[in-house]
Amino acid sequence: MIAKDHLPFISVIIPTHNRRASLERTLRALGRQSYPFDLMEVVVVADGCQDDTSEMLRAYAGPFRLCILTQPQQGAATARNYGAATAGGSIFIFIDDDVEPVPRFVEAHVSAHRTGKGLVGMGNLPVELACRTDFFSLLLRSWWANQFQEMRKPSHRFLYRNLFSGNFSLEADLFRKVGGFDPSIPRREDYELGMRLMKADAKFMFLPNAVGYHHEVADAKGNLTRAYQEGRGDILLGFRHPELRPTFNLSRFQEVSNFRSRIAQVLAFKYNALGDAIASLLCRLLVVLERLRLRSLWQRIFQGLRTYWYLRGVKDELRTRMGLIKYLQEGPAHSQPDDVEIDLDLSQGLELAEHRLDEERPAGARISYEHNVIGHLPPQVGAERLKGAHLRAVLATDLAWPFLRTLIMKQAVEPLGPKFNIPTIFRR
Amino acid sequence: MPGKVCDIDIAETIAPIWGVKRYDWLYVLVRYYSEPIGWLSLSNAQHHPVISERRLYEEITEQLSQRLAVNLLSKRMMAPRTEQRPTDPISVVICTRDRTDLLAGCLKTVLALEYPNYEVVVIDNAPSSDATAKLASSLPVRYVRENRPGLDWARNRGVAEARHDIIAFTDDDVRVDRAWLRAIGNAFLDPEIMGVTGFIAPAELESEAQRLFELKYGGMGKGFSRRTYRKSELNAYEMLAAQAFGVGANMAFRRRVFSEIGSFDVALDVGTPTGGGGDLDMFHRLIAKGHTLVYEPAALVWHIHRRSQDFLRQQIYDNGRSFGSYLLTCVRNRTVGSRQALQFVARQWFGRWIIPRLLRPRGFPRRLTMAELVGAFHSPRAYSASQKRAKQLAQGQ
Repeated sequence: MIAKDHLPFISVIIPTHNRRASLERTLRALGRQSYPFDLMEVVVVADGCQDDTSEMLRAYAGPFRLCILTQPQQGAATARNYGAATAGGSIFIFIDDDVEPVPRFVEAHVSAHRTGKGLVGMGNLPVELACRTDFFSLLLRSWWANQFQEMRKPSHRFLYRNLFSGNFSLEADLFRKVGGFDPSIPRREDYELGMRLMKADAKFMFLPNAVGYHHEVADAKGNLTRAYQEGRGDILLGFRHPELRPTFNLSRFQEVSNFRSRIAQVLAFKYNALGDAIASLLCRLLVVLERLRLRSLWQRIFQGLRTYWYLRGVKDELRTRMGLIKYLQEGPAHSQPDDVEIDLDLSQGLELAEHRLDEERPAGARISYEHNVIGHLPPQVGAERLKGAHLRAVLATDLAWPFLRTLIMKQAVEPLGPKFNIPTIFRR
Repeated sequence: MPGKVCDIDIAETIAPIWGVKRYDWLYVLVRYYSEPIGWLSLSNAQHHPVISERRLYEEITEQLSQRLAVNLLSKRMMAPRTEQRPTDPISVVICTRDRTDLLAGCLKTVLALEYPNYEVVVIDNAPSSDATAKLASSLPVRYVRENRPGLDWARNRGVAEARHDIIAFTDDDVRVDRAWLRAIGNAFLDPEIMGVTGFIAPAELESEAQRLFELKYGGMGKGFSRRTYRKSELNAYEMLAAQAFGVGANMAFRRRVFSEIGSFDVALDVGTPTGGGGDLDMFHRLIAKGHTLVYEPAALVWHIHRRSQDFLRQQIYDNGRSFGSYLLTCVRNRTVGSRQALQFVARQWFGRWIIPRLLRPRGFPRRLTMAELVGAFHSPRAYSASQKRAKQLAQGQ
């Protein structure tokens, strides 16, 4: 239990759509929180529910204040905005109705926000697939595991697409300042919000202890529908933030060489009736392949299908292949001259370099040790600016070998030189 | 595509390398406190007249810092081993035959060695003129003439003529490094060590034949790490693979090893029908009889590889013939069973070396690999002819 004084009042906002049992599990888990219940409210927004969700909610008796809102089906983004407009907390925690938080979940989010202002806390969202071992579940599990593995690294530079709306928290003021979710971008509304938060220089942070188990119910077929929606979503996202266009996988299609991806393009853009028929046949083939345990072939076909459906989504937004080419052409130039890059010389000590990064927060840095180039942290579209904490982490991982070999050379060539003492540079 | 060979010691200052305008590439031996660390391969496709120190510095960092780190660490941890300075006198034996000009270059470097106490013995093997004798008389070296043709006759004569207890051998087509004897003396500070072999770097890579031999065939260098060979730590195949222990152009022994395991086999090596193998037989016998051999990369010499393709082909052929003869000698000496030797030929020599090279040449022409194979098939005949001749020569004594 944390000290109660000066704790903020917080709101947990949950959009839901026809998932009564799952939502009940989420509410039950919220009823077991370590955070004082008089300082939290739960706002559930029923988005066009046709099952008995409303009855369950009305009958629900939890230890916290429960606020029930309903709206005709308009999508999760609108529901979240509606919930946020009604919520009274100074911190919003957004979770989905298939997330089951651990007892210290709210506490972990709040204690992160107590360390500073303007923070966006990314919760840990391990996917819970029970004992499912079908090919799709394995793929999904590794995808999610990779996402959080990456964010867990201290050297990680947060990207706009690290924001998952299933479990994150931010100050109510910040949410209002950036204008909340944009409901016109389906399936990519979280990335889009992430991008605006990035531009507002919000401080992204991964909270490994804010665990919410993600009870994923999707299957391979549902995921293909999702790929289609992602294709549309990316295009809309790129209209809103043109600088993101080069970061999409789409930009690869400008220079096709691969036979399979050319086929996928032709089918998606020109003969999509034929394409859809082939895709649905292949989708049925996946079931057969799974029964035969032919995993690598299954994966290849599944990825092919995902690419196809993604392109179909793109096509439905942009109409023609020429439309896509124009769309990519109109994006901004890759290298933006207004990005601030600094030259960082480590020979004056790591502390000084870290301090400079924290002071200047550049978009990129050229790291050297006297005249020896160690590496480059280039400016990245949609990524947070560099900070001091990135430096040691990146020197200990990605740039470890270039850094070490520079020190080795220094040590070998100038063994008595006063400046190059390996121990002192590592001293904290 | 001529390449420039040179060396730099990074414990001293890294200086720019001049005079490289006509070279396409450089092969730089990087040393640290005179010990070789590794090869630095630099392209000079633009034919710059000079390689700047900045470039050298960066390329060393790029290519060699791992080796350098290992060396730095071992220097710190094993400092006491190198503290002692070797002072035992050494006899340097150089066997030569009708190659006076090459010998002159070799003697120039041998006489400039940094070592407190050594003598130089030149063994002139069945010469056809007195040019070598004339050269030797003008220099502070001992000249001995050995009339029985064959490198191992000459080597045995060298052992007999040498005055000191450590005898180092080198060839007339070699330029020794100034620290050569110091490294050999260092290695012999350990009383267990009976034989030392060293690193052989190419003295030049001007011609295609030299480049092929050094980079594609494997050259004569045996790597940059010190290794100790003992019978107890080697299996039968490793004991037979004597080409990995070293090369006769850079080897040294304690004198008493010859009385214990016998002298060089006069039926082997250059000047006999076998065309080589005497050095390998000596390494193998030394280890097989329970003595310790060490490969010391700090003992460095520079060897002038064959310049023309014809000589290269002859040398590769000789390698095949002499290696086969060496294996037959091993069987005759019963240091190894005939079945093991046959298995070794099939699995290791042919299976791991010749056949893969015929299937995938990787830049080493198939005709050269074929030459080695032909040499291998000629080796039994060469071996018996050589045995017969050695007997005749011994009787004539």
